[in-house]
Amino acid sequence: MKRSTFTLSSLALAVGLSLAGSACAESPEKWYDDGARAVDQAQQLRADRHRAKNVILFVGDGMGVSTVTAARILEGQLRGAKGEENRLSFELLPYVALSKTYNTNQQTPDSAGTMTAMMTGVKSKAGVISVNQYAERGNCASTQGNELTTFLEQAEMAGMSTGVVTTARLTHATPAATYAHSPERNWESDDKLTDEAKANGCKDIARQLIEFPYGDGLEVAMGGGRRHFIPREVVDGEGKQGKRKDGRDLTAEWQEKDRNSVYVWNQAQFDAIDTEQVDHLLGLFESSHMEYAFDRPSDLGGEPSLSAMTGKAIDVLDNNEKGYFLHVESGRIDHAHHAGNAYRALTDTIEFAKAIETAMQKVDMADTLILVTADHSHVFTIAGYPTRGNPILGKVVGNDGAGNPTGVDQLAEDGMPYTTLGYTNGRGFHDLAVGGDTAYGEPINAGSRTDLSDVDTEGQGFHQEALVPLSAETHAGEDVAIYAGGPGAYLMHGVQEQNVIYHVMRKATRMDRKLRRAERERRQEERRRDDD
Amino acid sequence: MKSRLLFLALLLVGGQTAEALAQGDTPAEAGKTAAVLVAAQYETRNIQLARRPKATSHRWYLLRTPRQVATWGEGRAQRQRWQRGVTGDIALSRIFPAEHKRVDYEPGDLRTLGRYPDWRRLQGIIAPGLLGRLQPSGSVAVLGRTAERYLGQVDGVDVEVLWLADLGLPALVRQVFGDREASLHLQALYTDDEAPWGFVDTANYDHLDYADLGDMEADPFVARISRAEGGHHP
Repeated sequence: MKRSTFTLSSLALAVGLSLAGSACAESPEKWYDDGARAVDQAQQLRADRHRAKNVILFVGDGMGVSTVTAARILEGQLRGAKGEENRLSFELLPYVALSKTYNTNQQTPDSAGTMTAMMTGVKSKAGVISVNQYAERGNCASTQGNELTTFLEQAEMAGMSTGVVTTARLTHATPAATYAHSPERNWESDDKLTDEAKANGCKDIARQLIEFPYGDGLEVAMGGGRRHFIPREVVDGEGKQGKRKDGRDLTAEWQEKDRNSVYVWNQAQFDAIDTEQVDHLLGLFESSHMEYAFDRPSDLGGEPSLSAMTGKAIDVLDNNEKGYFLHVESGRIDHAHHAGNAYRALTDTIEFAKAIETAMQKVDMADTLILVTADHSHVFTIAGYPTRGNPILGKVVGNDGAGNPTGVDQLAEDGMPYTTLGYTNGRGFHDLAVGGDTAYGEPINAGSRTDLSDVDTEGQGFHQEALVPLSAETHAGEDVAIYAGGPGAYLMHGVQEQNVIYHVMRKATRMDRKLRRAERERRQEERRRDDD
Repeated sequence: MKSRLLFLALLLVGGQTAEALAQGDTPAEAGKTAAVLVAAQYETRNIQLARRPKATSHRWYLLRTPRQVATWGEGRAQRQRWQRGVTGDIALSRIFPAEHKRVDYEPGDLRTLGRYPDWRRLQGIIAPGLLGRLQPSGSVAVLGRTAERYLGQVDGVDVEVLWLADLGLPALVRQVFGDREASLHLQALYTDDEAPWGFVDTANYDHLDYADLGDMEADPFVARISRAEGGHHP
């Protein structure tokens, strides 16, 4: 049952919507009053020290602050507003902190090391999954004694339900760090295990999901990556081959675990799930990563949106009175940035915000801690001096000396227009929406300027200009934001190391106490069995 | 350099005309062949006709079935294989036989890169609709087959095409741009069992996803192919 303790967020939501919908009503008085109201709201904030029964950790892969800002503007503009005043759903959460994302061996991090920090409370190296920095990447033997316990594992030990939802492969670095331990993020199925790994007993990541040893296993696992769960001899329903060399069909093994275990791989099956009857739900909707939000309607196999998966996951997980832990990742914001395509990075971020909104509407914020963050940022910039309401994906149209829009493209010193959004590195400008080429391998086009006068920079096929030519745009090393609401959210404040997120989740759920109780219950059960 | 030449030649054939012909295409030229497998050897030539004439050429190969198209340049370390899945979606694999590596581009990756192709063009090499913009001009024999000749101007560029209608492939495409001529010549052609080469079996290759390359900057193979792609302005 929902209680009415979502007051602040509801209020903020109302303010946000009114701002987005009435940009024309802006006035000095309104700015002043809105500012004062924000402070009044802040004064009413009280640390909610109640125990969090549930925790949902949302991670936008590669969703740096500039991505959030640009997505916020785009979402507002898609609604017909100017955009800058808009707020994404999670920007209404009352607490914000900054997260320092570096890995123990890299200034600019990767997803494996950063998610390891969030899930285990211990920073680690790039490329490793929930093992500490003493492990050597790619060396199985080196992980022995260096495995870390994840928050999801502890939740299972404590009798909670657990779930992982992603638009990337379920075995990809970020979701993998919740349930697996590996010195190499690329060991997603056994075909990638080295001889050394096999000799020393390392298991591939997909297998670790199915053979998860804690509690009664994950209740929900949805995303892409079907190929890592089926044998290479098997062709799936979408005509794609599996990758497993050991001949195991892990989707079948999942279903054999329990009579209420279900495996689905397409939209129709997803829609047919009865969340009250399912105890363990595995959804693998693509052979590799799922589609970008923009491309999802054109996916011929059919697959659910991130917000639909989030809603379904909560409906399954909330059947447990002991609560649940759910991790939701928007995995492809990162991929679109790597490809230099801001359009898809932003539309995936907007879908991510919708997924969070779905969760905020479904859960009771009085007993559910919601955390929203990113694992790392990208070298994605919002630049120039575009006038207010200028299309965020467009070319810069500035203001004149009197501060009014000029109405024409601003020209750089080279006499050419430029876009507000850009990348510091990557493949650079491409706009090949017409046709395509028989020969992929378009030369990298970065480090030099292109005349964009006649180019539609707001289209889905546009790729922003980049300065340093690299085959793929890269992650960035600056801090990312953490947004928090619900019990324990007040612990998120200031500038924090990324691994603090784990400790906040533990403190908010009183995980120590839960684990002690679970251990007591386990011993009692053992004694009872011995007595019998 | 050779790959860029190939790219240039195909761009000349496919890109420039395709842009001009994007509207209202009514292609009749996308293969109507009885042959399931077609293997062809082509040569692209680029001739500067200025005061100091300069010619460059590059040989490349095509292998085609109704659901797959593979191309590779002579002496090149990589092949490309386009596949059309059961749902009609198109995916690309870049194959590196020497390293036993394959980089896969899912349909979503190709859309993100703005490289999602027209299947008719992959199968028939030339831009769909090109023949409709030219005038039929008799026929000639090419490699023992009858090729229809098409002539005309597209966007001010003189174009000649010899078209093997039964196979849906060009035997010749010649374009003259002022002081430069770009042409594509069919040099050998085989069908079905005659084909002297086949698709590379990549079952035991190491498969990488394009979407994951951005997180693999430390991988030596990824670093090498990235360098090979160059960092130059086209």
